[in-house]
Amino acid sequence: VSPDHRVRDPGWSVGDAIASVARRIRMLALAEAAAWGAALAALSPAVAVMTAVAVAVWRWRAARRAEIIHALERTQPAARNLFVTADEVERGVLAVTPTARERVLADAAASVATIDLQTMYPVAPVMRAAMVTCVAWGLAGTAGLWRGPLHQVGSVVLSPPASQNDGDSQPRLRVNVRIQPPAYTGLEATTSVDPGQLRTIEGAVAAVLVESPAGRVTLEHDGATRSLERVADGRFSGRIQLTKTGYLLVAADEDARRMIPVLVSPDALPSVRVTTPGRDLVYGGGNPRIAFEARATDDFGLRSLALRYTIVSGSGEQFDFKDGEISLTVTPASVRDWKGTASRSLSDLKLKDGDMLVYRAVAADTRPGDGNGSSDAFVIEISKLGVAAGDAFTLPEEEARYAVSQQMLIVKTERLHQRRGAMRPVELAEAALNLAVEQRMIRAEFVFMLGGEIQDEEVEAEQSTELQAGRLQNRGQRDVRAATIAMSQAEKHLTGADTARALIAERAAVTALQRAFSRERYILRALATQSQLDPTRRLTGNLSEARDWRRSPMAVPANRRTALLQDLLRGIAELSGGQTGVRPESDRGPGSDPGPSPAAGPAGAADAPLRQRALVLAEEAIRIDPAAALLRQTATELQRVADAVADPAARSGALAAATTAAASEARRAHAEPPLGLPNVAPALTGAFADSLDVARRASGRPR
Amino acid sequence: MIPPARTLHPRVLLRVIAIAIAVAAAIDPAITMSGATRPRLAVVTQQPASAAAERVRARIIQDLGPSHDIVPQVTSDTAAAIVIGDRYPDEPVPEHLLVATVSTAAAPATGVRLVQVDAPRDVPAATTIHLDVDVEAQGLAGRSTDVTVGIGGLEVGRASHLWTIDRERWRAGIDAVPVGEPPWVVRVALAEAPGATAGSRIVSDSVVDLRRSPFRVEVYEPRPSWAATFVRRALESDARFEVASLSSISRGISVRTGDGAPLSDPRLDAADVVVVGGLDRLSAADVRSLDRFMRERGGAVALVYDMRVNAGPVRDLLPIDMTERLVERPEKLSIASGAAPLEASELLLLSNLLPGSLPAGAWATGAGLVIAKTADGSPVIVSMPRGGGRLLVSGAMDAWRFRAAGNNAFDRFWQATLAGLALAAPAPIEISVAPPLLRPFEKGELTVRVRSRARAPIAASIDGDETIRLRPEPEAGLFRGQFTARGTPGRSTIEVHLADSARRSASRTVLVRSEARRIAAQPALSMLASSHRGIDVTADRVEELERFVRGAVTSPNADAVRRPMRSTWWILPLAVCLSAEWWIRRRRGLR
Repeated sequence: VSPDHRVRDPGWSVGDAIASVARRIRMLALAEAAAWGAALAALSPAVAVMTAVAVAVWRWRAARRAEIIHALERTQPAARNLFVTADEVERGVLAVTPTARERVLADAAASVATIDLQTMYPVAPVMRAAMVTCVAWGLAGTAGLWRGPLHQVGSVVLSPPASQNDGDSQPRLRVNVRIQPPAYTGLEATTSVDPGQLRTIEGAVAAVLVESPAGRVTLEHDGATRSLERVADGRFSGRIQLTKTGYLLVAADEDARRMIPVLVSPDALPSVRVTTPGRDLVYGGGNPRIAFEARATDDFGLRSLALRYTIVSGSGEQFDFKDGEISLTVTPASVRDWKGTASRSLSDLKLKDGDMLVYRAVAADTRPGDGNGSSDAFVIEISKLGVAAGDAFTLPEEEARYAVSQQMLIVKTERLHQRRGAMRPVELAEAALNLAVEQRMIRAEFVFMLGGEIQDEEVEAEQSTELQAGRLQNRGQRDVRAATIAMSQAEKHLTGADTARALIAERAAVTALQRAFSRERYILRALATQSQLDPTRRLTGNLSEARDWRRSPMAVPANRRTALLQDLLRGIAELSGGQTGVRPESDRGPGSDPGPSPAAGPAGAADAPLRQRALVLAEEAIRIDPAAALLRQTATELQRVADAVADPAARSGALAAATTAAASEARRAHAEPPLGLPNVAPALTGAFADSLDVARRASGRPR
Repeated sequence: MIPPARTLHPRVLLRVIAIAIAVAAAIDPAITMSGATRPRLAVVTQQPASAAAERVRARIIQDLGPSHDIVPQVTSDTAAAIVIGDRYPDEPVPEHLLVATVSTAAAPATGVRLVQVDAPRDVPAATTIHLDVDVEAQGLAGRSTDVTVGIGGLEVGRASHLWTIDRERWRAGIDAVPVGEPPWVVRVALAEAPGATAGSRIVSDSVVDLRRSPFRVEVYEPRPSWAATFVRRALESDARFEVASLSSISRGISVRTGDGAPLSDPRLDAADVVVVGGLDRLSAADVRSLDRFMRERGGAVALVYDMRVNAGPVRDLLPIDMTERLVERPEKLSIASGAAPLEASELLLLSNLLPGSLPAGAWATGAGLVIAKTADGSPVIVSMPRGGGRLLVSGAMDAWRFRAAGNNAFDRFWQATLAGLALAAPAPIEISVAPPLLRPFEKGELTVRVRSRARAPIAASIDGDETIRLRPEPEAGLFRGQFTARGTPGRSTIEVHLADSARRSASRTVLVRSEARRIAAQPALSMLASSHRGIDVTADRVEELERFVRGAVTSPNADAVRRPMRSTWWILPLAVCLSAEWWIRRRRGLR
């Protein structure tokens, strides 16, 4: 039965009317409270409940009898306190005669029957609240479109103010990284969410999408910081090209950071080798055809394979260089493994006597820019005199007396060695001496190549020492010098008619030459110079000017890396202490008692949240050296510590792993421990040793 | 006519006997007798004695008492001693005395324990701390044990060992990085300690302080030498070293670095180590200065050979023989510390370090320490004591040529080796505290060693306000004192001031921790038996000890001098004789 219907009931009294109005007021109050509560629930359930209760209480007051009477009077000003009087009469507050009582009540009933309760207590407030509710929930429902996913908004904005620990357990950032390797690699893009570490190829592009309630998100890459742009779905976006090992640091605010170590592997250059001929060739002339075959492999793919050459013509100081390329017929076994073949005659290459062609295979991978790999260089030499030299080397130049190769010398020595039993000692000695002269001539050629005359064997050995000491880093020079030493030994043996030992030394010289001229031969020829001594400067110094001098050694920089790693370890120790509640006593100051850690080191204040301290340490670890694998691991584990503040087991495990990695890296950076020496009563051990020495001297033992 | 036979009257006989006794007593004759004697055996029970020890003592006395003269303490005439207890005695025991022991300590149960932790007292900055940890296990064959090293609450080192036999001892070498502020408390713990109980020796704390002063090294070359030059360069590239050098490059012309001083200059004592190259040019005066530097200063001298020197003053420094070995390919020299091997092709093999050859696998012989040796065990680099200092001889003549090998193993070797020598060289004032890690209100012993022989007043204090009384010891320059640690955990600073002309002083930080854990490195009682020709048995093997004592301690035939007349019993026959003689005379009416 509706109150409106009751109002029109003929037997309706003022009391009935008041009761009916009160019910309506209460129903409207409850409805309005529910509507407002529902509206605010889109923001916060607790606020919604409080608001609903408040609205209900506020509206409920209007259901009191006095309030209703006053409302009736306000609605019917013509009643002139009729409802107040009727109320007092009904409640017996006002003593009147029965006639008056009936009269008043009848007038009041008649008057109240004319009141429209819907006008008096409209449902508009309820409708208004309902509309607000609809709007609020509409906004909340579409928040993902204009600000981010609902769950993210809800977790941060709609949740009640979280405690510190609760806040730590909620990730404030969600970092989505999509790695797009360079197109030429053919690798597919990968996507990861909150990655502990990124591994990719050089040149890859990282597309970073960050979900965060913050208004500004920055991305730091190897020291350069920039702000990320907010995209249509409410997330922050940015792109980074990864060219070297480093890190990404995403920061939304002070306590919402994520450190991501990045390990960038460089794209390896193609591996190229000449398989045919694969050795040096010497031709005395003619027009032979030479077949070339080269193989190349690459980790991602090849783009080209060719044979490049340089023809060296001329002699002495008049060398002429001409570059060219031989196209290869490429047969790819796969995109990563190519084989190329070609065939050319000497006339095709326009080689004439005395020329030398240095060639090498060159392959390029599919990367943009210069991605060329080169094989060892080999030589094709046109020399009638040098044919006998085979794989050995000598200058092809002008004087015929230098044309005897080391290999030919070996052949001659072998023949002499075979015939020595049938020869008279005098003939053998003379023949061996001739070979010794030839050996010396060849050796002189190489000494000339090295830039100076070496006549003294001891001086030569000393220069060999210089080589080993690292002053002459050129490997080719080192090998040539080793060859000259072997030649000197061969010469000595030949001089003594010891052909067996001479053969050993001669072959050692050939081996050294072969080593020397695999790659650096061309360079050696071009760089061969002879130093000129100025004899006029000899003995021209003033001895009186020779005096003492003081050497100033270079200042040694402090071991900054060690200091940083110790600082990192200290921070981790404080983090561990903060986790376990135990603080290393050794770190306490004089007279201090056990308590929280001091605000020292990279962790900053000891009272700072665990998560934030872990993030700071992760950042410090990666900043020390992003290229160090152990430091990247340390940073990753510390990031896990930050992410797992609500999970003690996972946090402890990550912290232990971070400690181990950081300590291992620190151990590498620290100097080795001093040698431990027995130091028990040093004076007595010294006396003991002296006594033994005295006894030994007395016994006359030889030294 | 035959005279009537005269009969000896009893009265006369008694009188003669009495007179004879009196005369003999007056003469007091000495009689030498030969025969077996009971050896004197000291059965010493350490106090406080346990019930088991008392039972053992009672049994030994019961069994050996009839044949031995048992005394409770060692005296000058005891033939042997039996010590019953559980620890090495504090009182000295005569070296010549035969001592057998009965160890009443509980037999080690199944489990693992820390025996000893060797930690350096100081390390320079940016240097790892090397710890040698002795661990013993009983009945754990097939199981493994982890030793962890923690500093500042972090685990900074770990080593693991698999036990292979029933009773085994393992020495672990662990390098740890320091964390936090010095001095560092290094906690060594057994991570896997089966059988461990409360109070088990599974955790030990050591204190390692930071050496703040640099290692001062002087490089001296009477002539330029590549070998010494590259050692110098290795040190100059290390910030922990302060290198001075003096190199004579020609007659009367020298090159100097830093405060390089001639060897005869008193300023040389500022150096901890002197590296000498060009040894063939060393003069006799140089050698005397180096010898003084080692003996009086207590410094270290490193002789770096680049050629064999058969004669000359330098030979007076070398109590060793040298054999030259030249090899075609560089030989890898294994290093005592386990570091990367050195390479050298020109070697001087050092021998005759001390009587006897170097056992296979050994790094130390007598007082000498082999630092580097060839694959066949021939020492090439050795260190040996020289007075209060040390002498290092390097026979790796051309190791500098291969200095790039092994990731600069040459540099790292010389840096570590000379750092060790410098650490062993005494400072002008050395302060040590025992135990290094104190508990609140614990008494600590302070030892101060002053390098200077000059007499000067010395004073020590803790925390600036409490004086520590130092008493001089018989050893010159050595002082000891006692102090009481602070009542709360924290740090205290001990300062020592020497009132000499230089007004030198030194300080040391003392850590006080309530939870300090340490293991007593006390020798076992069995070592007393081992060092005194005896045997050590447990309480259930006393018969074995008794057999040993009976066999080892014989009853000697000794000549004993007796004086029989000194016995008081002679009064009785004297009195009897005199009384009887008087009674007979009275019966006959004589007077």
